[in-house]
Amino acid sequence: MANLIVYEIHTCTAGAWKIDSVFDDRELALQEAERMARTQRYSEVRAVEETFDEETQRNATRTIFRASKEEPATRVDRSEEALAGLRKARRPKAPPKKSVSGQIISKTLVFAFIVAAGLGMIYIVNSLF
Amino acid sequence: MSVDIEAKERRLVHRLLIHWRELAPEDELPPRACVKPDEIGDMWRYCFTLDIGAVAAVFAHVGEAHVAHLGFDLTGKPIAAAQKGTLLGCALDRLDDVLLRRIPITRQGTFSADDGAPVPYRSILLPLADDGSDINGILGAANCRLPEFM
Repeated sequence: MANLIVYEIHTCTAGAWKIDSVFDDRELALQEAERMARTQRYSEVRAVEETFDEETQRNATRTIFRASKEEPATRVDRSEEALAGLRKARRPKAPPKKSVSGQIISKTLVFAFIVAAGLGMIYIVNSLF
Repeated sequence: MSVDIEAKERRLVHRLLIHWRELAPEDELPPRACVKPDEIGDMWRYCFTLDIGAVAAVFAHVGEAHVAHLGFDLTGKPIAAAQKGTLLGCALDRLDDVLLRRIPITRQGTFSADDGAPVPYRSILLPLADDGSDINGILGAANCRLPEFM
């Protein structure tokens, strides 16, 4: 079954948000949201994409544009989301852990070095006195 | 649909929305008397207006592009006269939603031409209120790629 998608423009004046208008054309909603933001009449303007999945009967909402008097207008478009996904994918991974046998060998070597160093110190002290 | 036609259809809806906003006082709906054909200009032929009465909604104006498309004038007729599946019928699909939510609603989709071919269209419904609050009129527009709308 198909998803139903509508776009709503929300405006905020004096701290109160309201739904201003409804579109089913993404580009038109974005154009109008940008135009409204330029008027500086509202403290904040955002365009929201609402997707209704007929199969699961669930709504999903995401902001596709936001602007405020303090911050410049931003289109949150698909390429930006894709880039965000890419950044997440490229996040550096933690270094691989050593195997158990490797850890035992390295700890044994460190222990042997400490014992040898201790014996060496005892030998040097004995030879001095 | 070509980009030019799509942009033209989108422009009509957007231009009418901007015009409606200019008519609206702060936080109020514009009154019906503010809708003036000479100010709406070249968009008027794609427009229609409704009087929303206590009993039924009636077409107060039907633009000449729609009259040419239908072959008759629905002015003075109840909105039920705009049959489902026609351009005006599709344009009025969200009327109840506009009356309930009191906000502009735009729509795009397809309707069937006389030969049954699907025709893409765009439409908008804009609420009007003489007292700024109780909706008693609608300014609407719809266009498509049929020759009478070009």
